[in-house]
Amino acid sequence: MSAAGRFRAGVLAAALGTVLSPLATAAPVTWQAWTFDYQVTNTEGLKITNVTFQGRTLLSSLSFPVMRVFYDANACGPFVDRLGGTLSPIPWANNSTLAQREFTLGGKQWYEIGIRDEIGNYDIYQVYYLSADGTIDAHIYSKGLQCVVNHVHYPNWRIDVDLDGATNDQILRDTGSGFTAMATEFNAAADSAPNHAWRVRDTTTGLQIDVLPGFADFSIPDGSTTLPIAGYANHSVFGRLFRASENRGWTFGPNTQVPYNNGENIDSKDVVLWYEGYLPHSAAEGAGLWHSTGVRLISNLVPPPPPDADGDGVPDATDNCTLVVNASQLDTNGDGYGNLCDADLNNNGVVDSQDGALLKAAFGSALFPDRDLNGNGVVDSQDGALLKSRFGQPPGPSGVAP
Amino acid sequence: MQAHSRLPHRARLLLLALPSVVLLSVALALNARGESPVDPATVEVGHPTGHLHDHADQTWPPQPRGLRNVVPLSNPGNAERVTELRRRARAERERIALARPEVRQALGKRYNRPDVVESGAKDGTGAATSRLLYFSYANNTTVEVTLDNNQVRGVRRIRATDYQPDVTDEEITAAEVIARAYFEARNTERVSALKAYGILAYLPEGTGFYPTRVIYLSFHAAADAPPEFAAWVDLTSQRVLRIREERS
Repeated sequence: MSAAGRFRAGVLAAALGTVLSPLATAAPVTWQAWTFDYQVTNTEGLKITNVTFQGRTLLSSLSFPVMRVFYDANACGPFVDRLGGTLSPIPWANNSTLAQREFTLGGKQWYEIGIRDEIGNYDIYQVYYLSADGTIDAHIYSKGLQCVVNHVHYPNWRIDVDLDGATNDQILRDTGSGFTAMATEFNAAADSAPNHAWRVRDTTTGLQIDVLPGFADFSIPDGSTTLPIAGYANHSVFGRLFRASENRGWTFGPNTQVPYNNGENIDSKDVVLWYEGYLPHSAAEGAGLWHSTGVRLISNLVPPPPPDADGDGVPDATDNCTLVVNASQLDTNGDGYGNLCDADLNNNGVVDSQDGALLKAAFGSALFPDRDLNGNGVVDSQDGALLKSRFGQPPGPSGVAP
Repeated sequence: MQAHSRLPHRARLLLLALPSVVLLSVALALNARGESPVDPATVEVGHPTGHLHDHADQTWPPQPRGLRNVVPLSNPGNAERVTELRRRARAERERIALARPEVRQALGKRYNRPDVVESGAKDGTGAATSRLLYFSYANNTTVEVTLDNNQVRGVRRIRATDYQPDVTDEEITAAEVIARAYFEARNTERVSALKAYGILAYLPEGTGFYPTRVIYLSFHAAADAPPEFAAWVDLTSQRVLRIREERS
C-alpha cells in the first residue's frame, strides 16, 4: 500500500474508533522503517505516539505542550501558546489543516507532518521531520507581534522516551570525556553538556537516542552542527520520572518552567525528557519575519541503505540514471541525465529520429562526447543499439534532473 | 491613553504593582546562572545575533530549502472529518456535563465553551478519563468537571488566579465587540479599519493568571503588520481595562 493509501486507511480507522471517546484523533503511519500514530490535541499540539524505527520502540510520545512568550519589560504578555485548537489551512498542503508529505533533501528522504495554529497575532507551524535513516527533527516556526517590543519564545517539547519498552532507560549528559547518567530528576542548561550532547539509553539493550539542538535555518543539515552556540546557550533540558498524573499537557501559566521535579530517581527507569528551546524575536524585524528552532533526535540504529533501484551503488536520490547501472555517472552535457540513459541528443524530451540522425552524423568520431552514450571514447554501433532501445522514450529516469 | 476609570479595584492594584515587578526581574537577572536552566520569569531576555534566517523566496509555512521529489500526502477532506469528530466528541462531553445540576450551578448563567484536558498512563488505561475546564464569568471562577467513562465523577471550583482554561474563539469575538465599542465611543476611528487578534492575557508574576477573565487584543492593518492598538478586555466585568496605542 502506498504511503497515501496508508494515510487514508489510518484516518478511516481513526474515524471508526473516535466517535465518543478521545477528543484527540489518531491515525497510524508507516513510512520507510518508521511506524507511529499521530494525534492533534488542544493540550499538546501535534503529538506523535508509539514511535518505532526498524521495529524497535523509540518513543511513547513526542509532543509540544507549550510555548511561553516573554516581552521586554512585560510591555505585553507574558503569554502561553498551546497549540491544537482551531487549526489554520496550509496553502501548500492543498489547504489542509494537517500537512503530510514526503520529500528528498540532500540525498536523504524525509517525511513531514505539521499543523498550523494562529494564536493571537502569532502564526505558528509545528512540525516533525522524520528521515529515512533514523532522525527526528521536532521543529517550530513562529511569526507575529502582539506588541511592538522585543520578545522571546520558549518552545517546550515533551519527549516520553521508551527505548525497547518503558523501563531501564537513563538520561546521560556529555561531560566532555564521556557520558554520565543523571541519577535524579533535574533541571539543567542544555549547554552544561559540552558539544550540546544529551542522550537517552536503554541500559539493557543499548538502544539509544542522541538529543541535539535542531537546525538553525531550514535547510535541515545532515550533521550535528546545528544551531549557533549563541542561540543554543539559552536552551534547557529537564529530566523527569514518568508519572501518569504528570502526563496531561500544560496546565500552568507562563511563569512556570517545566514542573514535577521531586528529586526522584531516574536512573534505569521510565523517563521523560523535556526540552525547552529559545526563540528571540526583535520587534525591529517586524511581524512578518519568522523564526524557528527545534530539537533533533538521532537513534543509534544502523540506518537502512538508501534505495538503489539499479544496484549500481549510487542511491536513487543522487543517481542520474536510476534504472541503468552507471557507477561512473558520466553526464557530458550536464543536464542531470547520465549518458547511458540520455539518448535524447537534441534535448526535445524524447528519443526520436532526429536523435538517430545526430548519432549517425557522429558515427566513428570521438569529437562528440554527448553522443558517446556508453562513454567508450567513440560513437559506435553500441551507442546506436542503446539509442534504438530507448526509442520513443524520454531520457532518464534520473534522481537529479531538474 | 488612560486606563478605564471603572477598573476593578484588584486590577488597579495589579497595574500599580507592575513597575516593581519589572525592577525585581532586572535584579534577579544579575544572579549567576550556573547549571540552572534559564527561567524567563526571572531573567531579562536577550537577543543574540547570528539568528537571522535568509527568508528569500520562502512561503508560509516555511518549506525546507532545496527539497525535491515532493509527494503530497495531505487530504483536506480527511482533516475536515477529523475536525468534525473532535467537535462531536467535545459536544457529547459538554452535553453529559451540563446535564448535571451541580455543574450548572457551578457555572451560573454565563460561562465559556470548555477546554478539555486528557491524561493517563501510556498503556491507555487513563484514556477514558478527561477533564472539562470551563470559565464561569457569572461566578468568576474556573470550573473543572471530571468525566470518567462519560460519567461525571467530580465538579471542582478553582480560583481564577490559580488556573484558567485556554481562550476560545467565541471569547475573542466577545472581547473584540467590547473593545471596538470602547474605541468607537472615543472616536478612535482608525481601529475600525484594523483586524483584531486575541489571546488570553497573563500577569508577569505569580501563577500568571489574572483574578478575572482578561483577553488581550491587538489591532493590525494586516496579519504581517505590526499592531497599532492594544486592549485588555475583562470578560468577567464586560469592560475594557486598558488600551494602548502602539508606536512602531
